Amino acid sequence: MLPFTHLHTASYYTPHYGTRSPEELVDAAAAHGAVAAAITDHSGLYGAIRHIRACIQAGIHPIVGAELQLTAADPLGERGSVTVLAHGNVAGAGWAGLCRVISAAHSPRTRRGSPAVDADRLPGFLRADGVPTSTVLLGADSDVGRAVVSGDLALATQQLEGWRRRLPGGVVVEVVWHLTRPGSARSLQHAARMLELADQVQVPAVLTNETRYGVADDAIAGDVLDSADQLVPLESMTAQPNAQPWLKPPGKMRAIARAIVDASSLPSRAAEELLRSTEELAERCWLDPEGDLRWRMPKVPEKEVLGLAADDDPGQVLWGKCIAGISQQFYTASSSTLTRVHDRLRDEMATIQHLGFETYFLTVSSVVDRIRQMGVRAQARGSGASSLVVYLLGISVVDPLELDLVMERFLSTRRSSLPDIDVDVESARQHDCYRMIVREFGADRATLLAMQTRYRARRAIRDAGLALGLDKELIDWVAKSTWRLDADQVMGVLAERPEMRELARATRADARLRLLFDLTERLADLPRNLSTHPCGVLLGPADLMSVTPVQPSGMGLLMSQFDKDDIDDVGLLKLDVLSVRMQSTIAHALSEIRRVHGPGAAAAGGLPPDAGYVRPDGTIHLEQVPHDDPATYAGIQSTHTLGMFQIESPGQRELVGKLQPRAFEDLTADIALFRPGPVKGNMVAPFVGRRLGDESVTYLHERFRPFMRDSLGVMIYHEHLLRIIADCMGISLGEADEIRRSMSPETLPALETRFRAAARSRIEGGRRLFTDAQIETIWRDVAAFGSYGFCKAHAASFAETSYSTGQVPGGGVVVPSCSGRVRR
Amino acid sequence: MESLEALVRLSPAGHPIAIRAAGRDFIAAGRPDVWMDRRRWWAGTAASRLGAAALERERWSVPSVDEQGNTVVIELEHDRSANRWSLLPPDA
Repeated sequence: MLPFTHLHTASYYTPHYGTRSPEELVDAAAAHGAVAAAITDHSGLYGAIRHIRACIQAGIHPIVGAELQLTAADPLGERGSVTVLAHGNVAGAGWAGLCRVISAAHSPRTRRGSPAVDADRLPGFLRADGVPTSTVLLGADSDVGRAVVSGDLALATQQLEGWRRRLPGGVVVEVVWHLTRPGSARSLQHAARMLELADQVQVPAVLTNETRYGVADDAIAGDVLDSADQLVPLESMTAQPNAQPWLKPPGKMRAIARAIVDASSLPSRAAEELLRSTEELAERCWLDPEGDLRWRMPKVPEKEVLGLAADDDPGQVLWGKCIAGISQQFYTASSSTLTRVHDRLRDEMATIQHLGFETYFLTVSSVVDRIRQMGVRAQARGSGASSLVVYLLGISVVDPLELDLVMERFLSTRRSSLPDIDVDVESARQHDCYRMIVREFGADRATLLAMQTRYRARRAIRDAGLALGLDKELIDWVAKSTWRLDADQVMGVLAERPEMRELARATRADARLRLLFDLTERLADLPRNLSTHPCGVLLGPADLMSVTPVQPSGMGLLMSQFDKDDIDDVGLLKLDVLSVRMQSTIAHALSEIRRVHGPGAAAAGGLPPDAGYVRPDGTIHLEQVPHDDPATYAGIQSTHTLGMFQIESPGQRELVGKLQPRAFEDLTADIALFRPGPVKGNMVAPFVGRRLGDESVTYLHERFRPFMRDSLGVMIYHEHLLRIIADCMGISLGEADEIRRSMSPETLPALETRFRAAARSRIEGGRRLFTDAQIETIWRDVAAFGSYGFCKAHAASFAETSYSTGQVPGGGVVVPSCSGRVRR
Repeated sequence: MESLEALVRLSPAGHPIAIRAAGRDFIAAGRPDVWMDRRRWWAGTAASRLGAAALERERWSVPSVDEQGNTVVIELEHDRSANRWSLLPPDA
């Protein structure tokens, strides 16, 4: 069977319209023997990166486009829509034009109501050097298609000729037969007249199924989505004519082509010509991820934006900044420490230069510097704090050497995507930080990031209930009874949970409820709304808008249509600027201390008069406060930690009460212990027991003693996991981190086999390093810990903020403790 | 007026060419129209799991001549799962 390429396919990223994920659609196309698959969501590329990734995995060619509404000359007139497909193998020109035309459709300057673009502006986006870089499909909803269905063939001819003049070589007529009623849009007659018109005006025609569903059965979900979109019950709504817009196999599409030609005045060979021209356009639109998108290749701001001259070497500049950082951060260090610092810096720089990420680090450093210049507190979190370079650049305040942090948890030569450095800022100033970044880097280089909200049980029940026209009280009761559930869980848990017994009884008695839950399951996990990601900022070079389409966010700044999980493949730099209320609280408290006490701040707080972290004007530099203050630990040990960062929940208060932290390492361990991995692995009690001296310190293996001394032999951090895997399997830390990231219940069995085999084969001095019994014990802890822990770098970053916070006894006002003594 | 069961002979292309219904015979005399109409699956008290068959019905409109040579348009519904044809009232 010859393949057929579906050129017009909406995924569930067209909200309240599509029903299938890009991956499901690609898999279905591949199962049909397709050599390519297209995604053409409405007004956006929300699912395009996932589509390309799925095509790469399926070994077929990706095609990307979008369905766009056109603005009408008459504001009250019908607008119509067309589908734009980007050409491939044109060095990204097709992709860039597509991104820019979508952004233009969303532009607040030109947009009235839903996204739309003026047809006369299309050539500016879809042609380069006089050559089309995209093709416009004129289908049933275009002005041409509407004129044909209304029977005005003269107008249709005039409009098609207009399109040909507007985009010579860049338009085709899209022929669709959805088996609708004779004479209506997408009927056999409509399709046949469209084909005849294309032949008459000498414009190529292509066949599509204007696909919205994976299979016909998806139309049930489609009806509910239509109802939710129009806020009208199904009974009062004009439902879609039928369930035909599904991803039909090649045999059915060929039969459709033959039927359309049979119904036309064209010779029967026109069917093969229609199918051939469809495949010719498909081939023209095969995107080359490397050539057209520079797939996974880093795209970072240009040197001049970072204040570098054209002939500056970013590697040299980065090295120079790090050396300057050494003199600031290690000015009292011993020569042996300095040797370790320089050795580590050389190792990290080698990795960074190998990956070509120098500009990335300079960019993040520049952003954090500028945030601090605004007077906003900024503190790195996450694995980025593992890096000495990050510390020396002042992005993080955690010394990775002091805490024995592993760089490979953050970055290694085996992890070629741009790493994540997350920065906590004051919640009250987060939007100011966004605006500064956009202003400083330029609106063409910086955007926010989008995020899809998805259907869970409560929303799905409300929308399905509305569609069925159920009583509001009934919908409210069911929605409230199931609000914590995923939409596809409801039926499964009805019989299991005592608190849902009444609902289960009602469901057995009421067929409408059973139908409601059936529909609820069909909506499970479908995207339903686009919002702004709570912290993601994208930075790129000056052609960023040719890489991602953008649209206005709720706060007015532009946001990329891509999801955070797309960013690695796109190769853009994502910086998480997280809004943290505690940072605002600290900033406010420090500002009040300075305002009230001014030069007398140290004395008022009972601090030593020579405390280096208190400036003469009363400004306190919390990050310079030593970590050895007994009063601070006494406050924490008292469990009166309400208002203290990360250690104020009832569970954490219980844990700090048991653990009685008396050093910074204890606080770091406490924060890391309060995670599913260590809890599931039963690692909390052993650590507390050992720390209090109630239990003897033992190690899973003597070889692990050097790197597990910090946790008294208990596996608490990702760093422990990495080192154990690396040692047992005889692999690098970078490889071990790859394994850690892949750990899931599904992958564990295969990993166990690999782990055991590798550990058994570890020989040193003619003897096995690990006995079978040891391997058994080690694997049990590794599997239990999984990937659900914290990396130590992240825990230490949080501990830094925890340490800096305290509570005024009886006052209920949170202020920084500054060693437990600076209080109001 | 309710639908009546019909016996339908098909061409190799799957088009009705001869129809017997209500004791009368018809011969197809022109290109038939075929389309799919929605069913109102949400109406009534549908309780069981929904399927594609509940979604739409296959309709045929066949220009024909009866035994007397009169030209008529026969409206048919085809249930593919049961391979059952029904004659519909003209305004169905």
